[in-house]
Amino acid sequence: MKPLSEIQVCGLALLLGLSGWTAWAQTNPPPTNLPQQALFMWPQTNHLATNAPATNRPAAKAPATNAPQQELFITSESAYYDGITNQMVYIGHVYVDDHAKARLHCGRLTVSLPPNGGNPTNILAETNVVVDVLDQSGATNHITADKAVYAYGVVTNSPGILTTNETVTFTGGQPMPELTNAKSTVLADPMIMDVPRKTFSFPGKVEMRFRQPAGSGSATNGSPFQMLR
Amino acid sequence: MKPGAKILFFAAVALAWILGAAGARSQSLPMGSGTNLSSVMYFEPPNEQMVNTRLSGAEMAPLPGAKYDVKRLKIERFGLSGKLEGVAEAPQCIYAPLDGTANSSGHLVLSLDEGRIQTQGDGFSWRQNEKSLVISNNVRTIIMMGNAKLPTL
Repeated sequence: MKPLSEIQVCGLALLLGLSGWTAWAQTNPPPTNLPQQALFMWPQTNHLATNAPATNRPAAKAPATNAPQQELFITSESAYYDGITNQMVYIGHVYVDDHAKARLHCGRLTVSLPPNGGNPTNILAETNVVVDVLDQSGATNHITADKAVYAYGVVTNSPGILTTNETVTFTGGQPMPELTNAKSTVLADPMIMDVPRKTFSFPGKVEMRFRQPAGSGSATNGSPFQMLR
Repeated sequence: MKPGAKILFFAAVALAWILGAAGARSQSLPMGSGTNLSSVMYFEPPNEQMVNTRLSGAEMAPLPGAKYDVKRLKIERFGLSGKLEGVAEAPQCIYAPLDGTANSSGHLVLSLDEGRIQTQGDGFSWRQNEKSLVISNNVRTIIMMGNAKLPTL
């Protein structure tokens, strides 16, 4: 098998300016009927080019009761419920499964429950966090970090318009969060995943490595930096 | 038991397991065995009229050390609005009313937020004063995501 070549990049801005970038960007249209509230659901994409922080997204005006429900499965060695802080804390070999669309392993998971019920507003995964997210084609995106924070919020920015913020922020690692798929490896701290948009942003230090597909030569779906050779 | 906390014991299908008058608020303990146990704890003042936690069981038998073997345990926790916030159920546990604890090596099912969060496991310890519930082994949870309670426009 032909060895993979790697190109290391130390600037996301440079990346965005290269025409070759689009050669391997996501070509399939984003799904339109996907549930919006699923934790870690990210049927992606290689569309890494969002340097802007994950921000607000206009939400549908439909009543909440019409929103699709997703079951999130959590297993662990032990757990405790803290009625004062209204948190469920899972300890030891914690495994989270979102209908096989995403899987998470960690040593400790803290789920904060809103006092009036509803979606958990904050989920903190700590200690050897490993996330595997499947994209539309079934390919796996593998993320490792020390910590991952899922944050969910609904706000009303203007009358009649609801906006949701739903992100997962990865921090820490060896030496920082690492995202790996078949085509590239990204090291960034922090690494922010916008769950509804299914995109990543890297507001801090970032390092990217691209793998040239075997036998791709100068094909358009090769490394965007092929043209530099 | 914390000062100010109140406990009411009702013997609905009584076999005379309450010392003194049934329903007396007290630090007194139930004696003997019985069925349909119900123990109610209230919020601290000024909400002392509001039920905080209700512990109930189908059967109860005394054990040494002011403890009781309770069958078909059910612990219900309420908010200040009276809304049921969570329910824990177990086939059996050891209940210590003076300590405000219940524990068991058996199975437990915990339901929070009207069933949106369902947790079960084996072995547990409930501490009323700390408002905590520890599940020791084989924890499994299902969280229903997506039906968010959005603000009304």
